[in-house]
This record gives sequence, C-alpha cells and structure tokens, in this order.
Amino acid sequence: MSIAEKLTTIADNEQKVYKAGQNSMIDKSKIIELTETGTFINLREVSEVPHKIKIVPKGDSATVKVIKGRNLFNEAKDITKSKSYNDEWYLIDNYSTLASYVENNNIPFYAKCDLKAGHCYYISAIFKHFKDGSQDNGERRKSMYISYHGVNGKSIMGDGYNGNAYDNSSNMFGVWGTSYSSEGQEITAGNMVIPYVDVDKFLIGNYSAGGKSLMKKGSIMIVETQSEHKEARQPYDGTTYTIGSEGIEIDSISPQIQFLADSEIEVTYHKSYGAQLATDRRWNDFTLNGGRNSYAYAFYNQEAENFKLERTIKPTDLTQAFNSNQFKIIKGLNTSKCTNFQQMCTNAHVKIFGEIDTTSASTLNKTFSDAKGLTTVKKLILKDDGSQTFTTPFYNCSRLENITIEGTIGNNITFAQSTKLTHDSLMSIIEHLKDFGLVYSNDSPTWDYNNFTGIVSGQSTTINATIEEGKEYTVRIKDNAYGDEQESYSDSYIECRDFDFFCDVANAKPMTYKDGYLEVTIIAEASASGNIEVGVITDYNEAELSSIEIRQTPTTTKTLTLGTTLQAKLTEAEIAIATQKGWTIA
Amino acid sequence: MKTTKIELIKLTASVGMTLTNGETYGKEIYLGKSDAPENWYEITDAEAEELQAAEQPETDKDIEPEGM
Repeated sequence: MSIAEKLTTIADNEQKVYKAGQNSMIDKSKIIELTETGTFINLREVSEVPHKIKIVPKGDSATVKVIKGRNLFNEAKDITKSKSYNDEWYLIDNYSTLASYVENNNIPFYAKCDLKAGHCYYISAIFKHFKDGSQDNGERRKSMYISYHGVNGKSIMGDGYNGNAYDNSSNMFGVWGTSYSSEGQEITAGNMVIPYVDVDKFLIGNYSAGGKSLMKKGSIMIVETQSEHKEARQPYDGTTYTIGSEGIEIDSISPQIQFLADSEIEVTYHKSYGAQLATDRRWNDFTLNGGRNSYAYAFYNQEAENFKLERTIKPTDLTQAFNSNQFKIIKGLNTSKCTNFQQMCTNAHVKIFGEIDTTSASTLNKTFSDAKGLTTVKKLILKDDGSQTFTTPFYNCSRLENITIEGTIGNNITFAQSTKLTHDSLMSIIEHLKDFGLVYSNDSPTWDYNNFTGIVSGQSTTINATIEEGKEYTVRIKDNAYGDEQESYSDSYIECRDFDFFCDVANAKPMTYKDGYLEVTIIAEASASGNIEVGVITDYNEAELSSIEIRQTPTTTKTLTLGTTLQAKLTEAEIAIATQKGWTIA
Repeated sequence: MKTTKIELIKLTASVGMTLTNGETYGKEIYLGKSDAPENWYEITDAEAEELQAAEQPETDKDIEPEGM
C-alpha cells in the first residue's frame, strides 16, 4: 500500500492508533512497537510538553511521513485586537483611591483574558495623565499598571507590582510601566509577563501618588511574544524521512504529531528534551534572548517560594526587582553592570542571596531593607575604591548571620540591627573597611638589587604614590628572610629616592623592626608624586623583601555602626584594626 | 613573645543616655584614629529614639517608584 493510499484510510485505522504516553509521562522512556506494517501512528497526547522523537525501523529501513504536526507555540498575536472600542477615555483616580474606585466601578476596569501558564506576553495600554494639586507639577513620569487576578491564591511570574490594588483575596498582581511625558500627553506603558498559572482576568490601575489618569478604551494590548526557536516548527507537515537501520531522531516540541510509516518502526520520545525547550523559550522571551537590561520590579511580590532563575540574567536595573516576593533563594544574577539596587529585596522573604556584584552602582539604597528572613549574603562585591555610599542597605535584616565582603567599604554603614552576624562576617566587614591611613600598598612589588651611592648594597622598588611636603609617613616593608632577628637590622636603612627628604645614605633614617616589618617614620621634606623609588640598605645579603606599604595618620573619619551586641563579639584588638584605619565603631 | 600596643579610645554613655555625633547613635563608641571625643555628646535615650525614628527609612511596601 502506498503512502497515499494509507492516507485515505486513516479514519479506518483509528482503532489502531497508538495513543502513546497517556500513562507514561516519564522522561526518556516510551517505546511504541508496531505490529502491523503500515500502521498509522498518532502521538497525540504523548505529552503536554514538547519532546524529541526517535524512530528506528524494525527492519532495515522505513519511510515515514509526517501527516500532521502542530506547533505548540502560537505566533505573536493580539488577543484584543478583534474587539472594537470607541475612542473614549476612562478616568482612573490616583492610587490612594484606586481600591475603592475599582470596587465601585468594577466594569470596565476588569477585563477577561486568556493567559496560559508558561507563555510570555507583552501587555500594555495607552494612558493620559493629569496633575492633581501640588504633588504633580509639570512634566513627570506617568504610570499605569495592569493587575492580574490570581488564580486559587497564586500569583503569577513576571513583572508584578501590587501597589494598592484591591482584591478580596489579595491576589492582584500586576505589571506597571512608566513614561516621562508632559501633562495630557498620551503614553503607552507596559511590560512582559510570564504567568505560571492560567490567568483569566485583570484590571487596570493608575499608580501615581498625585494625579489622575485616563485610560483609552480599547488600548489594552496583550501580545504573545513570538518564539524564534526553529524547533518550534519542526517537523513540518509532509516531511518524509527515509530511515536506515540506525534510525533517526526528530527534534519536535509539538505535543501532537502523526506519522505514517510503510513498515514496522519503533518510536521513542523524550519528555525532558521538550521540557528544556519550553524552559529555553520562556526565558529567551523573558530575557529578550539575553538582551534585556531592566529588571526593575521584575519579580515584585511574586509568591513562588521555589522560583529560580533559569538563566543568568545581566540586569542594569534591579530597582525593587524582588521587593516583597517570596523567593527563598535568589541566585543566578550577574549584576556586574547593574547601576541601581534601590530596594532590590525590600520586604523580600529571601533567605539566601548569592553573589551580588555592585561595582557598577554608586550607592546601595535600602537594598535588603526589611528582608527579615535573610540569613546569608554569600558575597557582596563592592568597588575597590570605596566610593559607594550606603543608605541602610541592611535595615531590619535581623536574621542576617553570614556575609562576605569583597572590595572596599568607604562610607558610613550600619549593621546594628543584624545582631546575629557571625564573628567571621564581622571580620570580613572590618577587613574591607577602607584604610584611610594607607597611602600605598603592594603585596608583591619587584625588588631590584642596586648599588646605592656610597653604600655596599641594597634593594629598591618603584612605587606610584603621592607624598605631601611636611606630612608624616610610615614606610613598612616585609622581610621574609630575617624574621624576628631584630638585631640584624641595626645598620639597615630605608631610603626613598627621587624626592628630597632622603637623597643619600647619609640622610637615610634607621629602621626599626616591628611585627615582622622593617619600619621607618619620616616627614616629607618635599612633595612628590608618580614614580618614587624606595630602597632598603642592609649590611647583609640575605634580605628577602616582599610587601611594602606607606601609611599616614588618617585624616578622614567614617563610622561603622555595629551596636553593643556586635561590638561584644569582637576583641579590642579587632576593633582597633578598624579604628587604626580611621573608622569609628559605634 | 610579641607585644602589640593597641591605641583605643572608648566612650561609654552614662546610664539613660546615648552618645551621638549628630549622625550616629550608640552606647559605646570606639573612636577612629582621627576622631576626637569632642565630636561626641550625650543625649537622653528618649531623644535618641525620637531622632532615630525620624531618620528611619520608609519601609512601606508601597513606596513609589522614583519620579512618580
């Protein structure tokens, strides 16, 4: 029987259709064995997720034609476009009265929708905004939000902002967008969402402290984003595979596909493949294939405790991104380019936050404030120059125990309310306080042997520092060779060339030996900057010089606020590490 | 044996009082190397609580996005 003939008998063969997988939703295992050559194979209901299909002939070869393959994912579509609206505008009051307004004006602000879990949608609307009293003056941002009606007490995943939206079950979740425009100007605002449950209705609101908005009727746009996955369109209807004994594997994400084979074949499909494709698609859409920058409010108020980022996202803006949400673990963020961490985790339920690189931000403003469940920040990476400012980034983080700092704390900061911080965490904080007395430091400079004028031998290195005339400096150099043999240094000197206060050995100052360091305190007789040669003159040949640092008396005071509970976890010697750097410990 | 000299200046508030430099508050203050006792003074605990409460950040979940 030819394939064409078989096609005409599909209906007759219904009794032989194999509904594979209805009871076998197990990854990587389902074998369909045909017992009748030429049987029509229907993989309908194989799985609710896409899959990869392997076809192997029982004999030496087979010809298999795709009769029907259905794309799981729809093309982009506007699900409201077919509806007709007039050009009127609805008044939406400011957010403080939105709840009652919505309640009393239930229609038209509720609208039905049909959002499917796991799909990605762009939702927007057109607004006008008008000032209302003194709070709204001239050009400013306008905002709107669309709140979704949660299903069975669940939130959805995606951009969400609760605001003051009102619902009896408190299950309103929304997406908000802002635009900066003149009064009365039409603006379009919106954002993308990926609901993780089906959503059947939503409402529109105006989140603005002062001012009223008008929403244009019929302007609500819900567009399902378009997938770029080639696999979504495979296999194509009518594709014919000629299969050798080794078989063939077909990439498919279609949950419903029909084959017609001219000989007995064995079919295996893999659910996990399809699941991965679905995940890929969702996240590729949500992250704009990795090109999305702003994740402001992206996960605001989400309820999914076990949510995890399936992609390492690279946000430049995390404003309130996790505010009030219930994720327990947040990791998978590459924040090295992020410039805004304002209230990133305010009120969040997060317990463990992974690495957070803040080196592109100039300030950390309430970043974790009121994250009362937060116990661990695995690594907080700060700028090395200590220029960042802090506005109570850990306010009310009363359970915070573990934090590791990288980089430099250079401005006032408080951990006073994180009374459970461990000693290791406190030492990490102290060790990374900016040393305001440090002029220059190098753990492994290059030491060259030199014959200084009029002396036997010595070693020198070049440093890049600025020295001011009249200031007192302490030069400390580590010598690994002589350790505690203090007397060996009795005839040793530190000489700083290239500026005037030590021009030759006759003026070099005797060193002392202290805590493993050669040390000398000098008063600069002239200012110098740039490349300055610093040398050590010894009467022995075994010197093994390593690190060098130049210090001055700190002229800046910053405050690390710990409170008495945390202070009590530190010894006075440990506290002195901070105070010697110019930090007051409150 | 290694001997290390620690230079530490500690201010302790009187009973019922809190130390402040106008920005920071505490019962025990360890001064940084360039800080001075003259920069700190005592206020009552009640005053300190009132001042700190006024300086607390907004934590309302409905804090508006910037610019709104």
